[in-house]
Amino acid sequence: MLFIVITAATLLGVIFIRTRLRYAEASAAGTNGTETTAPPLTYGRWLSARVKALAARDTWKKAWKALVAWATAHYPGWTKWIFAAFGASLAYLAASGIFYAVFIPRGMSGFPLLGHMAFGGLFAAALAGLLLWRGRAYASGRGSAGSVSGSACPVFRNLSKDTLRAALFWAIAACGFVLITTALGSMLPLFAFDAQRTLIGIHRYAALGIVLGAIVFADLTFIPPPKT
Amino acid sequence: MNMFSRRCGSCRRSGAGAPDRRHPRLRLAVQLVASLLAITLTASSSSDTQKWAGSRISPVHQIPLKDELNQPIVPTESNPLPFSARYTCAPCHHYDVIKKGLHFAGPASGAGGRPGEPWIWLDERTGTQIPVSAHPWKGVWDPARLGLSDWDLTLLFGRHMPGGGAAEPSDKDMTPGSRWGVSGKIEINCLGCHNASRRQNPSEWAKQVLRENFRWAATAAAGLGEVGGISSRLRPTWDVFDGPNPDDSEWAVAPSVKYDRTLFDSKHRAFLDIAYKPDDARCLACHSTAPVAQRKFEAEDDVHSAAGIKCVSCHRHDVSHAMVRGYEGEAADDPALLSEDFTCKACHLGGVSSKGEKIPAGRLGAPYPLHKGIPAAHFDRLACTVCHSGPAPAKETTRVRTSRANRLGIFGVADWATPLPAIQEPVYLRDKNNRLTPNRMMWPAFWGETKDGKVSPLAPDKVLTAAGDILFPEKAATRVLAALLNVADLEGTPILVIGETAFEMNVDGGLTASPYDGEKIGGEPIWAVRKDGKFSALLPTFDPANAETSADPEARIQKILEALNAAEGAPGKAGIQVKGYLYRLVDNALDKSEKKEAADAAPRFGWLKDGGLMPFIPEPERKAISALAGSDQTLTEDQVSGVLKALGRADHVYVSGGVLFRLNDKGALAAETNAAADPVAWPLAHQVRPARQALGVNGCTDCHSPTSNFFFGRVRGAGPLKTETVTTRSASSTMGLVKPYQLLFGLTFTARPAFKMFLAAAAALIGALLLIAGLVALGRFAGLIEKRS
Repeated sequence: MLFIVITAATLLGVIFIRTRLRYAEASAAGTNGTETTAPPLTYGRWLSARVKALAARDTWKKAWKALVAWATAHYPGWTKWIFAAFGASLAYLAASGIFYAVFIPRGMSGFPLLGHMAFGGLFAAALAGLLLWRGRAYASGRGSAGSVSGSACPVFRNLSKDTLRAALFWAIAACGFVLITTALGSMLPLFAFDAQRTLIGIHRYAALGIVLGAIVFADLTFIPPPKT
Repeated sequence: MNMFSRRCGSCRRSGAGAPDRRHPRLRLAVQLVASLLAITLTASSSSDTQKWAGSRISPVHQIPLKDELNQPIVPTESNPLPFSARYTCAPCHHYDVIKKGLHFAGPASGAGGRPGEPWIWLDERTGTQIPVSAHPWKGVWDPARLGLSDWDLTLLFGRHMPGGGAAEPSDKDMTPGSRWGVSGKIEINCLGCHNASRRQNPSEWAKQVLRENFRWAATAAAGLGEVGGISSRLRPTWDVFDGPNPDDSEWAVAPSVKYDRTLFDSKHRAFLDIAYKPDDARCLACHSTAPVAQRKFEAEDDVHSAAGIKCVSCHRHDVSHAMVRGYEGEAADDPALLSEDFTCKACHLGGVSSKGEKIPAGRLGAPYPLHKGIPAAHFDRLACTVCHSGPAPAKETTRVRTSRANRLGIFGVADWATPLPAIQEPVYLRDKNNRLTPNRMMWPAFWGETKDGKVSPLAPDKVLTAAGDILFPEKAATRVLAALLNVADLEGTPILVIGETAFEMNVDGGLTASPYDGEKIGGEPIWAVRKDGKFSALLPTFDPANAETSADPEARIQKILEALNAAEGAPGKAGIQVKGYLYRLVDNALDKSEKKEAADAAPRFGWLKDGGLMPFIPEPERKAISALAGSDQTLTEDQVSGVLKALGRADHVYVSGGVLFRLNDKGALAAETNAAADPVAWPLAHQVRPARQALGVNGCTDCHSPTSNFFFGRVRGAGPLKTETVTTRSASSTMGLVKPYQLLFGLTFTARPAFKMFLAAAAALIGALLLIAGLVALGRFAGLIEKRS
């Protein structure tokens, strides 16, 4: 139950923070760079319009284009398959994992479980590939220092988007490592009953972490900023 | 109290046989005063005596025995009454509280909780096996729906009843036709469980119940005295105060008890060797289970028993006798019980009860299971007993016998145990919490009639009346074999040989089959003699045409024919045809006449009818005997067809092996599925195997493999009908799982080691890269990297 509450709270929290930052960004763009504190009603209207826009096919087309462009730029040649595998496996694992963890008290079983295991393997391979091929880029620390913006992080307001993206990359990698080791651990005859339960708990929270990180990463990366 | 001491003076003087019946008011008054006294004593003392002062020892029970009128028993008197637990135990133990306990109250003890083993109404003659219970469990028949009264239930199942409940009905519950007035009621048999003496004899109990000596059964079974007489033979108006029947000392002998005087002291107090915690043997008298194929020395103890834990160490109760059954969720079914404390989980893992109290693990030294490598989902979805109890799953379920269903544990001249019903285990089913639980399963079998699409069982007696001899094919053979036993100079046991099986008449009047390895002559049944394991022909080979050599064989023929003609229920006179000559008795003299028919190689035996020789065993009976030889089953499809025709109406059916049979328009036997044929199942908990023999001890592939017996074993319908048309269910289907998925999932385990290695490699690589990145970040944070560059 605690996990369900934390999942709901963090997901809603991240969505709120990201939309609030986006709203602030949009407001700033509309007032020649002068950030304003919008009243909640105005934010509500803006959010409502954004949600409606999500229903439009055009929005998704644009997002897909942005994603493809970003992936092509950052994963040239055959390495795009690493990214594709990572993205697809992450999407399935996140959807199936959170759905069963939140809505099905008995937990995952049947074909979704088989799929979870298969995509888990793919995820492990793709994550290792990502780290091998892209880790250096995110570890270099050569982010675009000039893009300081309050919309990157509400806490560290001077944090650049690239730095945050790099931090998220490594956070996702760390969570992925935890996910893989806990999944592996529960398959090995090493851990007793209580440890098994703990492993599952850690697995779930790591999965939540990776999902939250991926949401923020995607928001930073694939959703274009408002037109000025 | 001597049953005759209650006679008034005038009766004694006159020597009248039944004084109390002449003075019913006097008797009633005595009973009333005695009962009031007992109730007063009990009420005044119960509040004190039921409270435990703290001593862990139990008092020595050197106590006066009381009879059912609450009068002290004086063993030296002639014809004393049997002891009554109600009044003997009452001064200290509250009978009216105890009688609401799990073993005694039946349906009055609540909704019944998790399904338990029902009584099985078994009638081998008609192939009937109906699960009976007053609890609202799935698949059982309520006794009232079957027309079974308390009297019927007691006669059917009293052999394994602990007394009370249906065996001790109130006066308003006594149905016409019952003989409670003769037999007495069966009070709760406290000694049945609590008697620590090795003289406690469940077989004696069963024997007394069979004889309808209900009120005497406890006394006889406990070894307190010797009980003679048979109530079932007494006239229905006989009363216990009538005493012995002076006109009949051999057949209709009234029951009486001769107490073992060595048990009593000078104050007529008897020593009862009472165990506060009954021995396991007391429980196992009614709750034994064993695989059919297992030999006694192969049987293993439950791990708990092997560890010295008694049944009652977990299955506890207080004076209410509301016994803990020990299944998870029992506390919800009966909040008054402390049952959450006595589940597998509570003792081995501990936890928190639904009342919020902490349950410490390790009760009675229960080891804490590590279950290393078993994903936690297993503990949410499977009961502990799935992996730890009952026989390990095999391709086919294991057939077991249980005390109550198969009448085990009753020893004597007669063979009480029955091969049917066929109970199978383990069958994995989902419980009400959707968890898998191992079950025992039995397929009902009965003759029934359909009305509005619903099937109702027919009472065996109705079927017997309609079926006649169809259900007794062996009668044709036993009639002859019994007659042949009377042939002088036979020098052996007469047997019937059909094919490769020899049939001999047994003490129950049935046939016992054994392999035949003697000379084979054609396909006809052979009548032979067995002596010292060797077979010889009933008639020696001889030439009837040769007067010199045929004298001795003809003398044997005459003896045989004399015996056969005297056979009970013979359809005619017997005849024997030898090589074209027919022998028969005419005016008690042997008559030999030449027949023009082709001579048979072997002698032909038969009944003379309509000018011909009718075989002793007609073809349908021969087929049935042959088909059922060496089998536990008691019916053939031909017999079922015959009985359904005899029952006469189209809406009659027979249910067996999970299939409903009825006659189609062409008069042939047709099979169909019907809910009435569905099996009844109840969870099993024992016996518990050691951890090293639990499922999963060899790894995941104990269950998760394409050839797993756990998922891909099967349970086949079994019943009294010998047929290939039975219901078969895979283990996956009984569990409510998709078989192809389990097959696929099992297949993944063949690649599981490689998958684990792959995951380990990926994790190692990712971990190494994360470590490097971390070190780089640390270096940069500390300024070491920038400084160096």
